[in-house]
Amino acid sequence: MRRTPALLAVVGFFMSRTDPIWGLQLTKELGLPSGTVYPLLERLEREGFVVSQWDSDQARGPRRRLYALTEDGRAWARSRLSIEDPKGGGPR
Amino acid sequence: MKVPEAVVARAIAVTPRRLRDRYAPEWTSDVAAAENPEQRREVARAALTLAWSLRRQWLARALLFREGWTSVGIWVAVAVVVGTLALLPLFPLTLLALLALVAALLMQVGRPTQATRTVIVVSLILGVAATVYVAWSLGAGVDAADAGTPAPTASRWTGAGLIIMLVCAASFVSAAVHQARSRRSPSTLR
Repeated sequence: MRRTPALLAVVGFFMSRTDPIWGLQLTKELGLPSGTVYPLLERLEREGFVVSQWDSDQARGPRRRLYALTEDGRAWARSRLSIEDPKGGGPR
Repeated sequence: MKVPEAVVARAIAVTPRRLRDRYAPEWTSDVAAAENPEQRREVARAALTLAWSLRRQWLARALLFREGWTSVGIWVAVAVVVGTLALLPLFPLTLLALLALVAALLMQVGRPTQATRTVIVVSLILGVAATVYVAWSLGAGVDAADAGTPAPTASRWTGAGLIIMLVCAASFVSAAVHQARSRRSPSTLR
């Protein structure tokens, strides 16, 4: 994957947290258009760096598809994107 | 301007059938959850952009014979288009456009590296140039024979042109297949 500013922003945001995040919320938090974030999430999921599932908490309103980084994704972000991981292990 | 719901419906229709269950509920709920009309339109447009990307990936997979009988149908269609284009005066140009389209589609699958991209693009350009040269040199040879004159000097490397064509075709296919196979994990396009 090409190391674009949007990719670094999205993966960096995932790395900064442990809980899954809603795609639409990601666009708001990062100030990126959905047209950039949606294809990025699809690509990351296809590569096995991100997984997604429906939010089981129905009390939060409309159904939400939540995304989270996989362990492979964290390792890839550390080694290939040099993003620090608060969960442990800096850039390799 | 189209309403976002109509754009999302269009996106769902564009999405390959087997992925609709995965994406349709997400796009529909995201549009419904958007905070204002502008964001709803943006989410709908993003869904349509992603849907076309998924469709292009599907088409690339079909070109690589990963879609069963659909792949066969698509290659038959390509052959018919090439056959039809061959009847037109601008055949080399239309063939170039078609090959460029196929190359662009093949770059949608797998994990393209700079090396595979370079091989695909260079072999495409060189291969088409060699094809045009071979077609011209053969025609020039026939014309010269008809006129009873020697063939132009520039048309004497038809054999080399044919070899370049074959090498380019082989490297193009090899690079495309190598790229398509170098996937990290099973795609959502199974």
